[in-house]
Order: sequence, then C-alpha cells, then structure tokens
Amino acid sequence: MRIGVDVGGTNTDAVLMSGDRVLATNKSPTTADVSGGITSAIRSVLATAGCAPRELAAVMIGTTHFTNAFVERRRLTRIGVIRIGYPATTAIPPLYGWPAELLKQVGSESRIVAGGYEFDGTQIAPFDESAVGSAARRFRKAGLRSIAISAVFAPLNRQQEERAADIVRNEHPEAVVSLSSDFGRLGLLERENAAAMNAALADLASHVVASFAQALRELQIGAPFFISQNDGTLMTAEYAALHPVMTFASGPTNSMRGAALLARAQNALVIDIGGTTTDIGVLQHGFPRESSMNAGIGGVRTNFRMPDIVSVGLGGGSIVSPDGAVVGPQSLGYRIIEDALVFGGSVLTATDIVVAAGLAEVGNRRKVSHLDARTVERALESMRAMVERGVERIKLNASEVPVILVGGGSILINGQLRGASQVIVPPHHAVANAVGAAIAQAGGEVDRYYSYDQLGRDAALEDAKAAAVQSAVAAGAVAKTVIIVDVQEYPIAYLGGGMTRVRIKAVGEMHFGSAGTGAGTGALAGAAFGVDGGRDR
Amino acid sequence: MKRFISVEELSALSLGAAILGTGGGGDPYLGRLAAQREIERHGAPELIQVHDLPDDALVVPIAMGGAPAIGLEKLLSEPFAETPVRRLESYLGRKVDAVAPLEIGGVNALIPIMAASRLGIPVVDGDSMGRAFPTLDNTTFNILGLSASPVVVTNEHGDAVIVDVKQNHRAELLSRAAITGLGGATCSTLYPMSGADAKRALLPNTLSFALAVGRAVERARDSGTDPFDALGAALRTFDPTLHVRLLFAGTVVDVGRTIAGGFNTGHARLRGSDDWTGETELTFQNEYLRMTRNGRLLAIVPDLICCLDSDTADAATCETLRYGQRLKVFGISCAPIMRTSAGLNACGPKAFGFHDAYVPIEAIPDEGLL
Repeated sequence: MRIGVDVGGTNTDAVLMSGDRVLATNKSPTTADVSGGITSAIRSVLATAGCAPRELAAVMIGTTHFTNAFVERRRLTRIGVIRIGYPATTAIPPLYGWPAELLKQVGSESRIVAGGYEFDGTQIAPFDESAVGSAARRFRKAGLRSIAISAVFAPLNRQQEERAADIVRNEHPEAVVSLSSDFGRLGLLERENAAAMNAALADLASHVVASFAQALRELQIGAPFFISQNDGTLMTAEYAALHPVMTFASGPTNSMRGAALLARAQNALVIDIGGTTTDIGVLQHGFPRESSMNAGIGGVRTNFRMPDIVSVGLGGGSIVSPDGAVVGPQSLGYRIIEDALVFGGSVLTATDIVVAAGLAEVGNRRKVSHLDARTVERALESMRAMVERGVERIKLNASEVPVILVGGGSILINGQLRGASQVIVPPHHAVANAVGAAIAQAGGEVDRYYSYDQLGRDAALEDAKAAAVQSAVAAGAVAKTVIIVDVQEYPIAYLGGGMTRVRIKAVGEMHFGSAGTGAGTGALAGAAFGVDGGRDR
Repeated sequence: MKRFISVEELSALSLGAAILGTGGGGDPYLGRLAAQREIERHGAPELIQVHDLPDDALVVPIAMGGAPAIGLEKLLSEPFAETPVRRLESYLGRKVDAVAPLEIGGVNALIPIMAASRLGIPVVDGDSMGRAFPTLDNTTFNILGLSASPVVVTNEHGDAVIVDVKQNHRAELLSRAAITGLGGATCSTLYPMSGADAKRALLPNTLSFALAVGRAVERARDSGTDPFDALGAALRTFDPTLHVRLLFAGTVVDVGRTIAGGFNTGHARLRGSDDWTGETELTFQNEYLRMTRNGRLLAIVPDLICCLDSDTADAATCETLRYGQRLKVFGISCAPIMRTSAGLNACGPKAFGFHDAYVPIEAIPDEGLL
C-alpha cells in the first residue's frame, strides 16, 4: 500500500491506495507549518482503512507550495548568480528582465566569468576559475548562501558548472548550489532563470522537505518518501530539497494523471473546474500533452515543459450577469462562501445557477428560488458553451473523446458535452491530485549525439529509445510498463553529417513488491530517479 | 520632428517582427532584452524615414548571423552591434551615418536599434526583405544589383572577418564560413551603400509596419478582443494594397525535419479545426515557404506565410513547431519588387528548390479572404 498526498495552498489531500484501488481519502486544511496538515490527512486515511504505518511501501507527495511561493514572492532567499561565458552573453546579464518586486527579494548579485563552450565543444575562452573563487568570496561576504551557476552550452557539457560548484563550496562551505544543467534544455537564459528560481527557493525547500519528513516521523512511517516532479515521475526527498523548481508543473500533471487512473482512461480530455477557472488538458497514453510555448512563471521566462492547458474563465465562483447571458471571467474566488446568493450574499454566481436548476445541493436553495427560469437556462447554456469552446480548442481532431471531470466545480457541467463521447465524473474526483501523486512513475532519460547520415534517423531513434527504456528500468520501472513519453531531436547543423542531439524520456510503473514486505521498498530505496538517475551521457 | 524609439515600443516591435519572421529570423526576445538595456544606458535612437536619408550618407544594414540554437546559448555579447560598424568604418575610412535592418522578421529587427543607440546614429525605417529570409542573396539589394561587400562579420571577442569580393553569392558563402569559424553567434554589416541607393532599395516603413502589427496584437490582448481580427485590421490599415488571407486553422499532427546544408528544413502537417476541413502541408527551410491543402497550393514564397499560436497570436517558429500545437496561418502578399522576374530569381520558389511556378497569393482561388 502507498499514500499519495497533495499539499495545496488551501487543502492537503491524502489518499491510501493499494495497487490502483483507492482505499481511503481525506481533505484537511493546509497548515502554516505544512506538517500539521499532512499528519492530519495521513492519520485520517490510515484510520479509515485500518492500516498500520508499517504496511506502507512508500509515500508520494505532490505540492504546489514552491510554485505558489515563487509566484506570490513569499519566503524567497537572496541569491548570487555566476554565469560562465564571458565574453559571450554579456549584453543580457543574469536576472535582467526579472520583475522589480522579485529582484527586491532575491537581490541582483551576479558575475559573468570567462569560459563556457562553443557548439562544437571547444571553449569560448579559458575557464577563469579564480574569478569563480572571487565571486564566491564576494557572495559569502554579502551573506548570500544560495548560489546559481550557469554555463554556455552546459547541456552539452556540464564539466565547468560542476567545477565551479566545487570552487564555490570550497570558498563558501555553507553555500547551496543550483546548476543550470540540472534543469535541462538548450536556452541559456531560460535554463539560468530556472537555476536562479531554484536558488531563490533553497531555504524554503529545505524547510518544507524537512517538514514532510517530520510529519512522517510523527506518524511513525518508516517507508521512503518521494516528491513528484513536473513530468509525473518521482524524485527522492533529498533531491527535491535541492531542486524545488522541478515541482513547478507537478500540480496539473498530478491532477490529470489522477483523473486518468480514476476514470480508467488513457486517452481523454481532463476538465478541472475550480473556483475561478476551468483548466482543460489532454491525456495521451495516461500523460498530459505538453505545451509548445515557453512558460513564464511569476514573470520569469523559463522553458519548463508544462502540460498544454486551455484555461477558460469559468468556475464555481464565476459572476453571472443578471440576464444569465454572461458568465465570468470575474469570479468571487474564496469570497464565494460569503457573497454568493446560496450563502446569503448578493452576487449571482455559477454555483447559484446550478443550485437553482436543481443540479446540485450547495448552501441554501431557497435563496435562489426567485431566479427566473429563463435566466437559469441561459446561464447553463453559456457555461456549457464556454467549456465546449475550450474542448474544441484543445482537441487534435474532430472525433469524439471521453471527457473526465474533476475538481470541486464539476457540478457546473451536467450531462453531455459536444465533442465528448462520454462525460465521466469518477469517484474520488475531488482528490485526483493526490491520486496522481500516488501513482507517479519511475523515469529514465537519454541524451546522445547521432550522425543521421551514417546511422539513419530511424535506427538512431531506435537505439536511443532502447537506452531510455533501459534507464527507466534501472530507475525502478517495471519493464513491460515502460513507454516512451518524449522524443526531442536537435539538429546540430554546423557539425555536418546530420549530427543530431537526441533526448528521449521513458517512464514506467514503479515496481512495488507486496506492501511492506521490503521488496518494493528496496527497489524504491535503491533506485535512482528522474533526471538525477536517468542521466546517461 | 525627430522620432525616437522608446523602450516601451520594444515588446510590440518584437512581437510584430516575430510574426513577420514567417517562422524564422530567430526569437526576438533576446534582441528585445538587449536593445532595452542599450536604450536604458545609451538613450533612445532616432528612427529616420527612408526618404529623409541624404543621398551621400553612408547607410549600413546590420544583422546577427548564425544558428538560432547557438544564439539561444551565447545570447548577445557586448558591444555586439557596435563592433562590425566600427570595423567597417576603419576599413572604409569614413563614418557610418545610419544603420538599417537587413530583415524586419525576427531578432534582426532589434539589432540595428542596439547599434543605433550605442553609436548615437539613426536607424532607418526600412529593410531589404519585408520579412525574414535565410541568406543575403534574398534581398532587395541583391535584386537591384548592389554589392554585398565588404561584409564585416564579428564575434564576442571583437574578432572580425572582412569579406570583400565581387560576387554576392561568393560573399554569402564566405560570410557563412566566417560565421561558423567565429563561433556561430555573430553580428555583421553588409551591403554598405549610399543614401541614394538606400532610397532605391530599402522597402520603406517596414519597422513601423512591424511595430503596428505587434501593437495591434498587444492591444487586442490587453482589451480581451480577438488578436487575429486586430492583426488583419492593422495589416490592411497600414497598407491598403496588401493582400491578407487566413489560410488555415488547425493543429499540427506531424513534423518531419532534416538538416540540409546548414538549414532547418522540413515539413509539417496540420489537421483542420473549426470550419477548416482537410489536411494541409507546410514546407519550411528556416522560414515557412509553401503551404498546400490536399495537394493544392495555398501560398508560396516570397509571399509571407505566418503561423501564429491560435490562443495567443504569438508567432510559431519552424524550430519550435511541435505536434499538438494549435495554429492559425495567415498569408500576406510580399513586396512588389519580390514579384518581378529579378525578384523571383532571388527569392521565388526556384531559389528554394521548388518546382512550382510562383502564383501571387491573391490569384490563388480560395474562400478564406479576411
């Protein structure tokens, strides 16, 4: 058995699962110390199912804590940034273009030192190690403990970033270092931004991950725990404490993957209706389809792969015009429980409409009995049309697909939707996020160069895919469940010979022995995870 | 009255430049940041109209060159756009009076602004492509027989390679080799010319055009109105002689890429959404060059094929084209000079290896006129 936990801004949800069966669920308020909410939610599901802590094989935690902290600019650490690349890159220094209120919190200390690589692997300039040392000393004197390091073409060769990290730790033993090459792809500015965001979250991350650990200790759960990352795979707690930005997209990913499991659908649309917005995403083979756009997070440009989401301004708190014709995008948000009609307020909301239509029981139904039937009808029609337009926008083709409704606002949609072969409101849909965390997978990645001219594209891709599958299995995945979820080809035009960098990601179900016997636990504990372990160079 | 380019205009300019980049030209985002920083430190540059250039002025087109993937890593260096101008000045023994964009599509719309700000000289409101193209052969300058030489290619170290040869095509080959040898993220001046030649050869008002396109989309986004309506209206208002057509709306269902001769070449297939039926194919070589539906031509180079994200109206580049991306595709008629026989020789279908004859976009039968 295992437990999935979703630590959100408002609620902490927990689910206890055996295989893919949900045994118990709980929603508890998120507490300021984080651990209180987790303890309470986990204790509740264990009690409900009559399960003892030692029967657990693993605990998986998904959290939007770090995303929220960055976007709301709360509890950020002052940072120093070292970029290796001089004399290249100098026209755009690190942190340039970050929002002013963010810089107020993280500071704007940065140095560009000589070094970095050309596209062909040679050095731009001799790597200036002494400049790294003096930057580290300066940061130490300024009281900066969290240091981000980036280097030009580090995704192709991370030696200089690693060497710089050693120098920094040597000069500044208390420093916590974030390396841009840990955050993936080509694009220095976006990758460096990710490292700097990560550095800004360093203190919060070590605190929060420690709170997770403490909650589990209090509950006497000895099983290992993992944090879910952006792509729906897991990282160890130790790795997560040092790489908090890798959780940035885990919220929508977990929600969609949880929906897939609960509805037993691998290919479907997932509609998550909240208080203010409706997020529509596409599940392909049980995974969210990723967006092709660069994601800006909290006003900072990154190149994280985020699920491709169409957001519609419709939620339970959406304000409805008096004639019912216009719904949203303005919403009461959390004030719905005071200001909506059914709660004794004076604002007509989407929730009031569905209560008036007799489609849901929320608040006091008599408070909406005066609503004109045509108004209600018109508003229901507007809401349906909004969702249907969103569905139309995100679909790849005209054929009908199953639609899964999750989230507290799913009461807004009743019955059929145009474009949907069926509308599924699965059991436990309100805790889809925690379910998604509980079923997170083991992943492996390869990143290699091939000459397409010599090998041919097909043979090269086959070779890379096989290596990615192997890497996922080594990370703890069950071989027959491993699938390829991402293929990226970067033609390196100037190298000639059809030289192409191929990155392939494979994931599979985590191997679990029977609960608590130690077989599964051993596989988990001994495995390497995600980006860390799957790396193959 | 003199007109200056302000920091506030850079985001609209880069948005418009990306759209006119027809899938290529590089992401203007980095150019915008770098130009913003230059203006903050060196002041706003003057934007001068093509017809206001003195005949005896030395006007110098400027552009960055290299693989976009390299630019994404090496960004732009400092002083970047100043270096080739200074090196050219010492080579020619005279001062440069104004810089101009070589191409208005993509990041190169921003590079002359960086140079102008730093050097304290005007930037010309006009370019040689009215869009983005891959080589320096695909320019109005080449069509009119102006000499590309001397080409000055410089890198972040301040190294320069000066190519001074008689044939433009040879200048192109040698500059390309220089770009690679200098590390693949270079800034160049080329086709240095007199004000008289510039008036003859530059496509006027194209920087203002990119700005108007970007501003229309930005305003529509801010006010929550349809950015595509705004785009169509802006294009027609700016130049009533333009032919603008919505070619297709749909989703990318397949992308195949090859690398040939240093270009990002390939095909994408789109499946229709909304009222659009059938499947279309896009062919690209750094830029979108040809679009067909069920084998029938919808638009072909040198007319502009602009693919935009159907949610945001951001330009979708050939490099980042991905399965599942939702696009709206616009066709825009190119500058008349590109449609002359000399223009088509330099920039027409045959210049890019197509066997199709050029058909102006407005002469292709279609129902989708905006």
